[in-house]
Amino acid sequence: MNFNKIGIILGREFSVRVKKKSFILTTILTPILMAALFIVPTVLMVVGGKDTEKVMVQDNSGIVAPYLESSSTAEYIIAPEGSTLEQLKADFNNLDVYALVGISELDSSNNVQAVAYSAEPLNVDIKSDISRKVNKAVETMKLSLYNITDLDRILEEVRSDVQITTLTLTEKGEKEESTEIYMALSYIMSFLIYMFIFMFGNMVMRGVIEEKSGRIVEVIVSSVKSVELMIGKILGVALVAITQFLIWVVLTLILVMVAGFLLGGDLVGTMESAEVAGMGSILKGISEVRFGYVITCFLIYFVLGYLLYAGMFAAVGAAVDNEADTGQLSIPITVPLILGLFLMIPTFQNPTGQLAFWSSIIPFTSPMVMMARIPFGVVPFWELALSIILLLATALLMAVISAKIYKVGILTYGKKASFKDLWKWIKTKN
Amino acid sequence: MLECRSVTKKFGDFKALDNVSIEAERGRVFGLLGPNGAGKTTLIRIINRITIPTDGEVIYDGRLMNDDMVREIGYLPEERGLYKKMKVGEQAIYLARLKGLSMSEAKKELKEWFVKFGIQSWWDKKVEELSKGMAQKVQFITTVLHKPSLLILDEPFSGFDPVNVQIIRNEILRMKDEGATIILSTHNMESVEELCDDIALINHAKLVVSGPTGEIRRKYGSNQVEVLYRSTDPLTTWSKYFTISLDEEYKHLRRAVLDVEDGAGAQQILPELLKSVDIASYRELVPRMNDIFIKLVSEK
Repeated sequence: MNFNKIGIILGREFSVRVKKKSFILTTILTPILMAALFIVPTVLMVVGGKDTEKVMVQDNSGIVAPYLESSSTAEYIIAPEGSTLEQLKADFNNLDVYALVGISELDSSNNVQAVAYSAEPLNVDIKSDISRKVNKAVETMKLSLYNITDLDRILEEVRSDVQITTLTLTEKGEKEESTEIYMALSYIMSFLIYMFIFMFGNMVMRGVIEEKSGRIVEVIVSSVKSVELMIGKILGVALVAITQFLIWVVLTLILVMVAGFLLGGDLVGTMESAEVAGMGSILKGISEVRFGYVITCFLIYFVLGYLLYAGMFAAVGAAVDNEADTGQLSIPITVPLILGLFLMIPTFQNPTGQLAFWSSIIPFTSPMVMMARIPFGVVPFWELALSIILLLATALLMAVISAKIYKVGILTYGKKASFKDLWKWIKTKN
Repeated sequence: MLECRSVTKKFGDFKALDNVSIEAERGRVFGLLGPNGAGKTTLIRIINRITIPTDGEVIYDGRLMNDDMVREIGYLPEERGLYKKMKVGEQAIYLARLKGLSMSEAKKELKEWFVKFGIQSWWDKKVEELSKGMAQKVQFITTVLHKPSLLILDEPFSGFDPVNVQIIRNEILRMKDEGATIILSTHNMESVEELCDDIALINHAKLVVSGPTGEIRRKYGSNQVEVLYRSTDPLTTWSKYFTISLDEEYKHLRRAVLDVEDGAGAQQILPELLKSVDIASYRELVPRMNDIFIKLVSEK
C-alpha cells in the first residue's frame, strides 16, 4: 500500500469536487434554507399577522350571535334584521364580506345546522373558528337547560390542564427528560446519516463510472494499485462530505445568530408571550442532551456507515459501463439503507425493544437505527461497543470484497455484469 | 531489457496467454503483433502489473518487476481517456505525480513539452474543450513526461493526422536512440516495417514467432526473385537452385519469378541464367510484413 499515492488521489478527488459549482452552491444555499426555516415563521409572527376577514352571520337560532366575538381571524357581522339567507346569497357580491354563514333554527333536540358560503374555498382557520364558536353556543345553551346553579363557577373549577413531567431514574437520581427533543434529535441524526451515505456513496459510484467509461482508469492502475485508487477515492469523497457538513453546521449557527441579533428583542418577546412553558422545556431539553457523546457517536457511525456502503457503491460502479445499468446491482445497497431508515420509526416508539436492539446491532442498519437510539441515552455500553465493532469488521470485510469486484470490474467492458459475474470476480485470485 | 518468462494467464478455464516468452532490448523497438483477441492486451497489462500472471515472471533490467518500477514505465493504452472536466495542465501533473514525480518536477517537464509541441495555450483548457487529436497529443505527453525507460505504446498513431503521426514517430525514435526499450503494439504493418527492430507474433494465446524483423522476413517470406531479361522466348533453364513459378511478357522484355531453394542466392542463380539469356534486372522479392502476418495467422 503506497500511502503517498493514496494521498495524491485523495487530493484530486477532494479538490475536483469542492471546486465544482454545484458543490459550492449546495454548501452555501442549504444553510440559508435551514436558517430560513427557523427564521421565516418567527418573522412572520413578529411582522405580519394575517388579514382579518369579514364574515356575515344570519342567525336564526337566536343563541349563536352573542358568542361570535370577532378575533384576529374573523370579524363577525350580524346580518341586518329581517333579511333572509336567500336574499343575502343572491346579493353576496355586494355585501363585501369573505363569507356568509347561515345558522338554522333550533331543532327538536336543540341542535343547529350551520352553512357557510364563500367565493373561494373557505379558509381552514375561519372554518374552525366558526365551528368552535357555534359549538360553544350550543353546548352552553344545552347545559343551561339543566338549571344547575353556579354553573360558571363549577365549570371554571372543573377545567384542568395537566402537564406531564417525564423523569428517568438513573443512578444519580431523578432526571427530567424531554422526549420530544430526543425524538427530533434522533430523527435528524438518523436521517442525516442515511442522506449522507446515499449522497456521497452515489458520488463515489459516479466517480468510478466516470473513470471507467472515460477510459482513464487503465492509465491510472498502471501507476497505482486498483485498491489504492479505490481507497483514495472513497476517502477523498468522505473528506468532501465532512467538509460540507462542517460548513453547514457553522454557517447555520452563524445565520441563526445573526438573525436572532437583528430581530433582537422582538424575537425573544414573541417567544415569551407565545409559549413560555413550551419553549422553556425545549430549551431545557436541549441543554440536557449530552452533545459531546451524541456528536462523537454520530461521527463514528457516519464514518463507519459510509465506509461500509461506499465500498459497495464503488464495486457497483466498477461493474457497469454507464450509470443507467446500476439499477439491479445496487439493490443490495439501497434495500438495507432504506430498511434502516424505516426501522427508525419503531425505534422512536420503543428505543429498548427487540427490534430496535437487533437492528442497531446488525451492521447494515445499525448506523441509522443506533443513531435513533443514542439521543435517548438508553444504550448500554456493551451494546454500543458490540454494534461499533461489528460495523467496523463488516466495513473492512466489505472493503476487501468490494476491492476484488472493483479490480476486475474496472477493466471489464461490454458485457453487463450479473450477480453471478460479481461472485466469480470475488473468487478470482489476484 | 525486458523479459517475459513463460508467462501464462488463465481467466477461469480460459487461457488468455499460454507460456509466452519474449525479450525486448534497450535501444530497440519491439513490435507486439497479433490479431484481435490474441492476448496482446493481457500481456501488456501483465508487464504493467495491472494483472498478475497465473504463471511465469516479468523481469526488467535483471530484476523482478515490482511496484517501485512503475516510474520506469510509460504506458499508452489503446483506449485513450483523460478526465474530461479537468484542466489539461492540472491533469498531466496529477498523472505524473502518480508516477512518482514531485509537483515541481512535473510542472517543469510539462512546461518543456508544451513549448516543444507549441501548445502552451492549452494549459488551462478543460480536456472536453479539446479535439480528439489534441487530447491524444496531451495523452502522449503524459505517457512520456516522466522519462520512462520502458515505453509501452498500444496503437500510438491512431487518431492522428499525418503531420502529427510524423511528430510522434520522431519522438519514439528519439527515445529509442536515448536507450529506451519500446514495445509497440499495432495492426499497422507499415509502421511495423518502418519502426520495429524486433517483432513477436501472438495468436490464440501462444507465441507464434519472435525475432529480429529482418530475419523473420527472410524466414517467412516466400523467398522469390524477379528477373527481367531480353528474349522473345520463355526461360527454359532447369536448375537445382530454383524453380520457375511465373514467366510472362513484360513491356518489351520478359519477366520471370523464381522460387529459390533454401540456401541458394544470386551467386548460384545468376551464372545459371546468364548461360542462356541476357539479364536486364535481378531483384529479390522481399515479402511485406502484411503478407507474413496474414500467412502466419491463417496457418493456425
